[in-house]
Amino acid sequence: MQGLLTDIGQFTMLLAFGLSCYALVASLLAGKVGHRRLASTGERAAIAVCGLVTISVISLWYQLVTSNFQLQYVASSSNQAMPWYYKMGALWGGQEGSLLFWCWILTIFSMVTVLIHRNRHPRLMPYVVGVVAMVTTFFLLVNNFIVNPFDAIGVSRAGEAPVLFTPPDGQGLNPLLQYWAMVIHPPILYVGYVGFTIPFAFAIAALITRELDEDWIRTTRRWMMIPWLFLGTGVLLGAMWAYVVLGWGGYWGWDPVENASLMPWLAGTAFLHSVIMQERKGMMKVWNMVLILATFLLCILGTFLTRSGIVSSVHSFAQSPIGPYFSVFLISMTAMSLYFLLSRLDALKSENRLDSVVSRESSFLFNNLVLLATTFAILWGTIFPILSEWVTDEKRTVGAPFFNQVNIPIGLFLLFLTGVGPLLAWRKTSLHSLWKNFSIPVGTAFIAGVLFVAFGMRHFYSTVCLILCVFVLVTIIAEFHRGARARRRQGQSYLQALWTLTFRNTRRYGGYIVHVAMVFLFVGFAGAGFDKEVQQAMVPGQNLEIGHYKLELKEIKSDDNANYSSAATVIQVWKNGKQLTQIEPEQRLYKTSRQPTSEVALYRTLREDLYVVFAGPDQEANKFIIHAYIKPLVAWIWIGGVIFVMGTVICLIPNQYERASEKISLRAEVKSYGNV
Amino acid sequence: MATCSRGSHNSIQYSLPSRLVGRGRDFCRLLALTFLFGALCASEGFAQVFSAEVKNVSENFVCQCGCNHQLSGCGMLYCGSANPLRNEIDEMLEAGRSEKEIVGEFVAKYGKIILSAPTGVGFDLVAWTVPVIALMVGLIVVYATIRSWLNRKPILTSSQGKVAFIPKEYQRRLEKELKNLD
Repeated sequence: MQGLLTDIGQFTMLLAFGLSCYALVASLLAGKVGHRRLASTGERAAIAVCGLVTISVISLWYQLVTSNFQLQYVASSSNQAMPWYYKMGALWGGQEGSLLFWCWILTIFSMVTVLIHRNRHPRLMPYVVGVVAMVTTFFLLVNNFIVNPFDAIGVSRAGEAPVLFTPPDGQGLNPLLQYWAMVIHPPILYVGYVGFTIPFAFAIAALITRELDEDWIRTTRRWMMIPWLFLGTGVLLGAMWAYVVLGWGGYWGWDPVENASLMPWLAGTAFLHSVIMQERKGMMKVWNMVLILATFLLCILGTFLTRSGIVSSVHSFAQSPIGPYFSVFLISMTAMSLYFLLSRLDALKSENRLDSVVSRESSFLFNNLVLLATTFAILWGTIFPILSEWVTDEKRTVGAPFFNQVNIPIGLFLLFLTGVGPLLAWRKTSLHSLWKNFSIPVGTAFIAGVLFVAFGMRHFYSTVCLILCVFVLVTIIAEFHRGARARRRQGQSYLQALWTLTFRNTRRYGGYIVHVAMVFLFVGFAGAGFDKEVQQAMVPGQNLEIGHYKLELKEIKSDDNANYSSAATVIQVWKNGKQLTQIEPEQRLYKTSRQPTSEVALYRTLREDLYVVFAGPDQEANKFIIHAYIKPLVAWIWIGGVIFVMGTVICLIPNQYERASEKISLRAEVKSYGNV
Repeated sequence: MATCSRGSHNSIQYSLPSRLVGRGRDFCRLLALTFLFGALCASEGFAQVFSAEVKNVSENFVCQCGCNHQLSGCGMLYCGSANPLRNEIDEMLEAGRSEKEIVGEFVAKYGKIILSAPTGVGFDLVAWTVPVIALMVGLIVVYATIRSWLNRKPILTSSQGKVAFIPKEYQRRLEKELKNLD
């Protein structure tokens, strides 16, 4: 059964490659000659590719769950002792499987796009399908001919053909990946990365066909927001994994792979803001096109960085020699994007003018500048080691001090704009309006600042960040309050008014909720300025004091199961003389990989996390070393993540204005009237 | 006396009465447990406690184990790179070296790759200046864009070059829509 399913999986993957090539050629040709039936066959081929890749994925899952160690991939990323859910997760735990998984998600996106849009955008769709098929074909090419997850293990003896070999057990999934968030983090992140292919395809299709009206941008905005939501959630889940699993007390280390996931998210954020300018004012058309193209290209660049091993990264488990293929693909996609963009510049001219510098329009420009500056700074820091080695022939490292020094001021300015932007009116903001909108937020932030300093806050960036958080939060609350107050006049209760307000203009108020999430995230980041840390060698019965906590080492426990051996320290936590809880930081040694890992113990509150790591025994003194940290406000980051998801989901719900604007395009009407 | 009990899942529990604490001897079972850890991590070494000074100096460097973290923050258990480097810093501090001298000696010994951030000299300066220059260029572009948009006349001409006329009814409708959307 295993052998049969391996053959089926391999065959369907190969067939999918063939059909994907057909979808690519047929769709682009159909778009060129305007042959609807040919385009239709291309669409069907794209749907069939999805079905075939699904069979391949199911087949590989079966091999993983049934531990078919004859396959190289199964043997290197799973073992018999792993629970079934980690075996399922091993699909994206290694290079070959994760690329197949990536391809699978792409084909699902492709199928959904075809099913939703084939009748709505008859001129665009052949090119959309063609571009998506181009990306799919590349991934299937890599999967079929370079890193095939169905490759068997062969032992070659001198002068003889390789003989198939089945090891008794596999090497197991990287122990660092054996954590619940790691089972869902990569799929969510991949949905984000892969999803940006669809807006990219629509952008290229719109450029080719010159159908650069409101319709395509509205469609693209929705397709942009879905991967943006998933990528953002994936990034936060990755941060949570780093915080809980890596045991260094932080959630963000500016690792190249972390940076690679953040860059497209930032570019996508810039687009989701500037697209409002295009929809409302017909401005920034070229810029929006650049952002869509750049977001996708940054995703490919991120994948290239993750998997090529070109930069040193903690994510080295996913490296392999596929770098050259990705670099060729990246260069081709960039060249194609630039060609179509530059050749269609005449069709992307802005339709409107700016009435005043102090306006919402200007704030969008600055918002985009700051987001792009951050993206560039991160990209620059990530690739600088390569450039430096190239120029000076000496290796360099660009670590957290560089990224923090460059990005913290930019991030704070962005936070400031988050508060200012929504308070500025479209076209022109009068002095009276400025005073009316800003007096309460600025006043409240000032009072908060005085209080923070009075209560002993001295960390400059953290204090400024918290003051700005107060400012932004008050501006958002004021916006909701103004809207709700207006609705109350119609006889609604306050809560009812808030509800109606939000769901009548989901995009605006959902956006504000996302801004609240950003405030929560920044509050969490600000907490890093007040971290405390204590390391101590202890024997049972001894105490460790950190902040207002006292930790008493009660006992040491050891455990053993098929997957790993472990030793845990049982620690009683006291706060201000009161017994709080018992925590058990642990060390594990995974049997097959012989890799030790740390299981952090956490006592979480809204104010701070008590983060305790069992670092191991001290050889000389026969003591056990405990690292204890107080990490203020970290919980706000995870709460911010939940609010971010809520806000974005609300943004995705079509509201009455969007439905109405889909029915009648006012601008188109005005234009067509002018043409008469 | 120390107690030892076998729990579920083959677990061994070990606790020590408080009267034994502080004697620093006769921890035979503790030793046995330590031996277990030794077996667990035989090839990896043992954990160490470092002073705050070592941590401060370590922030200048990057751990070479591939974790990409600063030396002060490498959380890898029994890291084969972090602890020896921290020990080296500890010894240098004990020998009376300043932070600057330690950084200099580390760069001489391991090369600039050991530093956690580019320095401010030579090609390293490019790392710091380019983001600032990019931001400045961006500001100039935004300024120029705003100026050009401010100077632009309202486009009321259609693509065919005919003068477009927007009836008052449509203008009112447009204003109303914009107001509602805001």
